[in-house]
Amino acid sequence: MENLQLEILLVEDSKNDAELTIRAFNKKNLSNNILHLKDGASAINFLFGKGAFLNRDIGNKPKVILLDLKMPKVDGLEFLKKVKGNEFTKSIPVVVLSSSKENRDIEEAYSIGANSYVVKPVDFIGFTNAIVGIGTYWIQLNQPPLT
Amino acid sequence: MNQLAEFFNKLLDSSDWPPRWHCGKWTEFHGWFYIVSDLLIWSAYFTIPLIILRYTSRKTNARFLRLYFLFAAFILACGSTHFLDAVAFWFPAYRLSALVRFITGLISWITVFHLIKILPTAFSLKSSSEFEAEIEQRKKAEKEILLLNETLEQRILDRTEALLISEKKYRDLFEKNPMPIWVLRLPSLNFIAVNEAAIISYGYSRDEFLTMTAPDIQLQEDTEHLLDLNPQQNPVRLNTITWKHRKKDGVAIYSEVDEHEIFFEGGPALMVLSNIITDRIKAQEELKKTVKEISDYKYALDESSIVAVTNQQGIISYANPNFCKISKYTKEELIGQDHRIINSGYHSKEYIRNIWLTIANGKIWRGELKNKAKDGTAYWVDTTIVPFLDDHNKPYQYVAIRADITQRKHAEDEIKHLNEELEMRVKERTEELESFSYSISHDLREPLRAVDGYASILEEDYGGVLNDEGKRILGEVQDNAKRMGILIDELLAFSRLGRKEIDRSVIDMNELSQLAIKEINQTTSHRAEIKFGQLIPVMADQALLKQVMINLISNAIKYSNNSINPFIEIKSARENNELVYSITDNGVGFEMEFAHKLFGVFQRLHSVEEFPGTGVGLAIVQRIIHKHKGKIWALSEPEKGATFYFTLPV
Repeated sequence: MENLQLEILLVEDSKNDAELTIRAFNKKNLSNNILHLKDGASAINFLFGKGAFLNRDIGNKPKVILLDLKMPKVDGLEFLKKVKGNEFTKSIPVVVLSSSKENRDIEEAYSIGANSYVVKPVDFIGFTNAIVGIGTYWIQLNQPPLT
Repeated sequence: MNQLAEFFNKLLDSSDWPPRWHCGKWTEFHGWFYIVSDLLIWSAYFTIPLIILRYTSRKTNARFLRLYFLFAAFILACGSTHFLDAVAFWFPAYRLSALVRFITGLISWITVFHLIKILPTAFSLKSSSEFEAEIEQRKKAEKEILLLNETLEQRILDRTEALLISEKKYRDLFEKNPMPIWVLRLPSLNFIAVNEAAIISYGYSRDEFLTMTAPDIQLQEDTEHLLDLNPQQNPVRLNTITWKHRKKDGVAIYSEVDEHEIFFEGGPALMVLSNIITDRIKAQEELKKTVKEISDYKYALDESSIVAVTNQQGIISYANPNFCKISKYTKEELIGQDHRIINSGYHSKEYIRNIWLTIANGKIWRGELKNKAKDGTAYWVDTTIVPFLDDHNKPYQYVAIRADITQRKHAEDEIKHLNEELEMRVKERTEELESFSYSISHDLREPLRAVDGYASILEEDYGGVLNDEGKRILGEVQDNAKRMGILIDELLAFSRLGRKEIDRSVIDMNELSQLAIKEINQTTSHRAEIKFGQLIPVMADQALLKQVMINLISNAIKYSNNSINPFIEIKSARENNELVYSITDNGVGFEMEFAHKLFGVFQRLHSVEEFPGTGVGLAIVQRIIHKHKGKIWALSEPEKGATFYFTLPV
């Protein structure tokens, strides 16, 4: 796993949402290299090689980060601020995946530097379609800079 | 003596002498020449006295009449001698001749004497040339006199005219004088002259006046009182007395009368000038009334309000008992001070300066002031400061009328405090509500998504082991999860509306309706025919009004979808200051007795099985219309369609 190019970092506190998301990716064979972390704090540690990820190769950056906003400890917006405020990580595309349709949240996310904001549909079909759309675009179409 | 007697006896006797023819030698010619000459003299001498007599009988006023008679007698006598000489040729009565000659001589001498006697007079008589010269002179003198006379007459005429003019002038001074004037005969007090002003003012004709006496126009009542009233007021005109006079029509008038004794038309008289002062007296009475009214007002004001008067510099010149009572200062302590004595220091300098700026410009200032009493306690007064302006519109003093509003101020403070508390609580609640909304939108969706998601996974992965009933039940789970999702979304939309500010702009309602229909068509398939004519544009919030149209039109579509030819019509009209829009369908309609439930949240008149829906759509519509200060209502009959109306202010 360490040797493989990490494609998707999913930061999501909901076990169910995470499972449904990963299932959608797997079902469409969009990615077989997804890392799911349950809160912003561990995601930060992962990106910067701290804590539990002390000896990780931090040069192995994800192609895209899927970020939930409402999380324990370090929430989505805080995490976003840290990622986009750091030269080393700010070029990583971050797609906010949230249940919130509140304009307040959307505006704030973009102002901090979110690359996209997607509201999670309640119905499963809509949800699956949304995830497939995101995967197709960010993994297959989008061209990130070469490190 | 004998000779004398013989002479007269033989006077006519010619016997002593021969006729002349026979005395001497007379030739025929010589004798007749003598006789004829004597007869010519005689006839002439007899004619002359006749002419003289004729002259004197005609000219009886001629002077020297006696002389004329003497001449006549003298010539007549001379004639007689000549006649007797002629007769002597035949009848020589020489005695008679001698007597006649004697008489002639006598008369001649009498004439001589008379002539001598009147000679001086005769010398004084003028000659005719002298007379002519004198006549000429006379004529000249007469002419001069005539001329003088004419000049004199002209001067008399001029004088007379001047006198007439002067007389008229003075008569006009009397007649046309605007002040009623009359002259009374003394002591009877009969009117003997009145002017036009008197006639007009009193209403009596001139002839009526002239039959009256002064007491006839006087009203005795009040006179004494009037006598008391006047002298002090008019010390200069001591002769002036105010009378109450009666006009012909009985109306009483006040007259200030001046009397002067004069001599008029041959006797003592009283000239009276009547100054009618009824208006002045009435004005004085009015003034007295006004003064009383004003003092009543002042009393009322003093009783009801806190009153202070200050001069231009703000120095207190009057403070009423209420002022003293509230400020706890005595009158003596207040007068002479300015208002700083009660200044609480509560108001900004700007505020106080604005008061002075306002009233110094002659404008009324109204406001509330917090003042400080002598004991240091504060009180509030509702204050009106009225500047009193002089002739140049500059304030010369200010009257401040105040009312104690300390109680009200305390109450207001209380209310303010309560309001602040309330606002804080509202804020807290709003925040709570917002976080609640946020929770709903985020936390409630997640489990729903899980329900739907896992149900779908179950269907996908284990569909093969489920029988039809199992699949149907799984379907119900998914449907309910979705419905719950919609409910949450709509509820959130509804609660968001409460916070949203209205952003008005001019909206083309035709365009907006098109947009709404387009949006509906994207999510809903239907077969309704939607018709709308020229809709009136309106000022409203574009996004919100679009939501209204979407909700109303989709409602109409939903409830008419089972009709044979679903038909929807959108109309507009202007009524007074409102625009009325209506959306009519030919669908199932509703019973009017439930109309009041139409716009309640989660209130529905049909079951979800009949017509799907959450019961939030119309609640949202009503909330939007109310936010626009409009009204919404609906009219319907079951199976006869429904019409939804809403109004928006112009």
